[in-house]
Amino acid sequence: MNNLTFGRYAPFNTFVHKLDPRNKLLMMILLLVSIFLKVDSWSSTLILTAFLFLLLIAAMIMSRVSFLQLFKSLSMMWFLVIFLLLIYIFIPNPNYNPEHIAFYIGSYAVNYDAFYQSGYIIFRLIMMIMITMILTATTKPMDLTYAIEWYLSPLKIFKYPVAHILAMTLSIALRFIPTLLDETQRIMKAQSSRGVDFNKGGIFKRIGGLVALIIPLFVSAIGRSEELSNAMEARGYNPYAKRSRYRILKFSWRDLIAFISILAIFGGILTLKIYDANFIKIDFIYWIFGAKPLF
Amino acid sequence: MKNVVIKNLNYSYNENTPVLKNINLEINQGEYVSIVGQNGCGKSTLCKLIIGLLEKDSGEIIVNGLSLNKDSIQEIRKKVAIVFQNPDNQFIGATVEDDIAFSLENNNIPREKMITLVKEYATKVGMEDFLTKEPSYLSGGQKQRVAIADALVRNPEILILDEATSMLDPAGKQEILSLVNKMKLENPNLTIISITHDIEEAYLGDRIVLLNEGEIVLTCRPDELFKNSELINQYNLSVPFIVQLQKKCQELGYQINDEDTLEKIGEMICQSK
Amino acid sequence: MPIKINHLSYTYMKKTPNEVKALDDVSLEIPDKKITAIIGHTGSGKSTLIQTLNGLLTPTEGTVEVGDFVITNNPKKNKKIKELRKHISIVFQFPEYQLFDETVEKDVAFGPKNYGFKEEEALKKAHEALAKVGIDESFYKRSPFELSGGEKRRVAIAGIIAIDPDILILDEPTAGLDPHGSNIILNLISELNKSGKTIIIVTHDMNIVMNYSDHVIVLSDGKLAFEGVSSDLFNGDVSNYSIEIPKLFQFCKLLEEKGAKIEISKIRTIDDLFNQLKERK
Repeated sequence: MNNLTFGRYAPFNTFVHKLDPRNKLLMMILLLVSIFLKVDSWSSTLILTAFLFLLLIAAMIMSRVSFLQLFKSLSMMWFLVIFLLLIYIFIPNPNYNPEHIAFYIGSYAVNYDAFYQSGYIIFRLIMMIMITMILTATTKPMDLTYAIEWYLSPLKIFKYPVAHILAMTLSIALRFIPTLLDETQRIMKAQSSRGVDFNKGGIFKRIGGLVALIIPLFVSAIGRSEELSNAMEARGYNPYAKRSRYRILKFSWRDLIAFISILAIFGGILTLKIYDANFIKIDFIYWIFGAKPLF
Repeated sequence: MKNVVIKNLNYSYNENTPVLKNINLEINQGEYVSIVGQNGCGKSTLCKLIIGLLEKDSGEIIVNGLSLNKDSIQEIRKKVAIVFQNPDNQFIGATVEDDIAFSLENNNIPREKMITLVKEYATKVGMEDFLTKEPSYLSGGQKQRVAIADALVRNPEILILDEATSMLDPAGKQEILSLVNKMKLENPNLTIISITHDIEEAYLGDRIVLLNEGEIVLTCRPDELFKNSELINQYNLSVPFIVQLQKKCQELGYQINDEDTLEKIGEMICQSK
Repeated sequence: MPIKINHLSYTYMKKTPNEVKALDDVSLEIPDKKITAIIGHTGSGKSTLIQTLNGLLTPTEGTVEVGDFVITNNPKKNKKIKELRKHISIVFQFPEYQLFDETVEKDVAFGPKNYGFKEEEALKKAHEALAKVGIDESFYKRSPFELSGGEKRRVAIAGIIAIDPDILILDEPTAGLDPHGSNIILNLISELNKSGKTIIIVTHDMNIVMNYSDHVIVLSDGKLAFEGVSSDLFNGDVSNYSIEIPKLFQFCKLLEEKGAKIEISKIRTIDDLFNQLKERK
């Protein structure tokens, strides 16, 4: 169960923690797009990716995100690595080039390209995870909801409080995640005391154990939601009425600095992409493997 | 002034299971009424009817002169605040301050006023140092204190405690009871309706209403119920120690009065040797 | 099965900013076939302690010995945990939340079935357990979800009794019940103890401690604060543990001060007190 601590908010007080969540959300999207932009030549892409990777490592250190947690979440990815490799090995390569053959499995030729391709995808996934971790570890879930609500506020024109209801639903869901996790653990422990082993046994036994977990969890969640809605109603909650706001989000000088930096990086990469700039044409792959990739 | 008037109130979950039968009850402004009875006697249902969370079958509920119906419900909810049993399921905000602010946001209070009110009421319930804490870092008693702040920050005329202490440990329970006591002293006009099956807690009230199987069987001063050990036994209430002791002494032929303190009974037992 | 705890420590969320040391070098023994009460304020480590007893939590340091079973801080060595749980079972707080099956009897039979009993044997065990908690045949085929709070609680407890453990741990078994419901549960616990089971009961209610316990353990901030009999606990300084001394005990002390010759350590109920008074007259 401890794996579930992945992405939990870590209460430090760093530069990144102090940023406006709206800004962080926007910067996250810019960085994600940057990662998935591919510049024409392999070597340039590699250099850009390495640059972004170093930037993210710096950001992780700055926001005090635990590297241990990153490795833990990566250790779950080995399955994906093998899966991608297999796909790239066995899907016929459109750019088939006899110079690229790394080795043969029987009579089937395996191209170096399979390794570059899957490796590159994995690398980008790792960076995606890093970005998400930085966001969730430095931003309170509730602040994220406020940010989402802010971005959805143009929906007001529909005269139905879509943004508010969505944000309220989301924030209550977030508020109850720890409660429900505790509940899950409690029920698991209770059923373990009745001889359920959630980690061992055949498939039927496991399903039986799961039923003994899920049904009580549902029953209690439904009970909770009823009590919660009673409490909200009793406190005069009405989504259609005019409500004031306690929390307001502030865009500070920090946000300006961070946003301009990220925007500059994003703009730079985008320019390189648009002009197909192959600013470096050293062929690493050729050096390493003695073969020249085609793309 | 009559704060709450209930006339011929009936409620049932379905046709075969009536929960409340012909309830008549009047509660004055500033009164502290304890409603007692065993689990399933309908006491919590009564509360939910008063704040309109359930719809009555027949009868009338008048709160502050307003008869409860669809049009008056929001108005009445501004006057009546309720603290429920489960500390977790009524904590709506992400942190203590957000939770207290939630009630204010609903009433469209301007932000500047909210900030001062949140601080003021957090201080009143002794939670001023926990404003930015999330519920998972609070004890049950602390969460219930926040719930009381939530309730009082709207400046209600009636505060309902629906078994608000039943899920707390003795320390938490004591926290809440002394807090309620303090609130009552600060604002003598606040009407309190406390639902409990803890008879010693009910003793704090001015009046006890005993419910059994959906009917009011008795309304009296707390000490009158205490003296009536037969009723206590009949309706499965917890018997306070002094009543147990008096009963035992009477059985054994000691001459004791209902007003006797433990001290006095002790002396009598020692002298009788 | 006696329980022996040696230098037990447990830390939650180790090496994170939220690290909490729930148990700190606790050594104690829990006597066989007696009723032991564990008390302490919220967050004192009571729940952690009971969960290490049947291997739901692995100690950070130290060992727990239950009969021949030894639980160490190395999870790989703790192989016979499931076997251990057959001998030592926990009824958690609000156990009604663990009910899930279609009928009462099936739900109670769930435990025995997990321990390898055949359907029919498991049902037989379930019926025996239900009889012990005072749930009669008319309930067998009903859904556990349509019962009252007190009945659900008893069915849930039956679900553990059906496993027939030697040691039964109950966490706040009377929480949220009215006096009538509480008494039924407490009498049941007393009966189980008389039939030879070791009982460990976690409670805040000092009346339960006085009326039922043979042995008391007090935890405070993860450390062992007291181990002994209840009368010694109530006689000592309890101001730090948020313990409310039972009225009966206070009254006995009062009598003693006024010169009554009574043996407080042997008094559990009002009847005990008056029997002693009668004998000494």
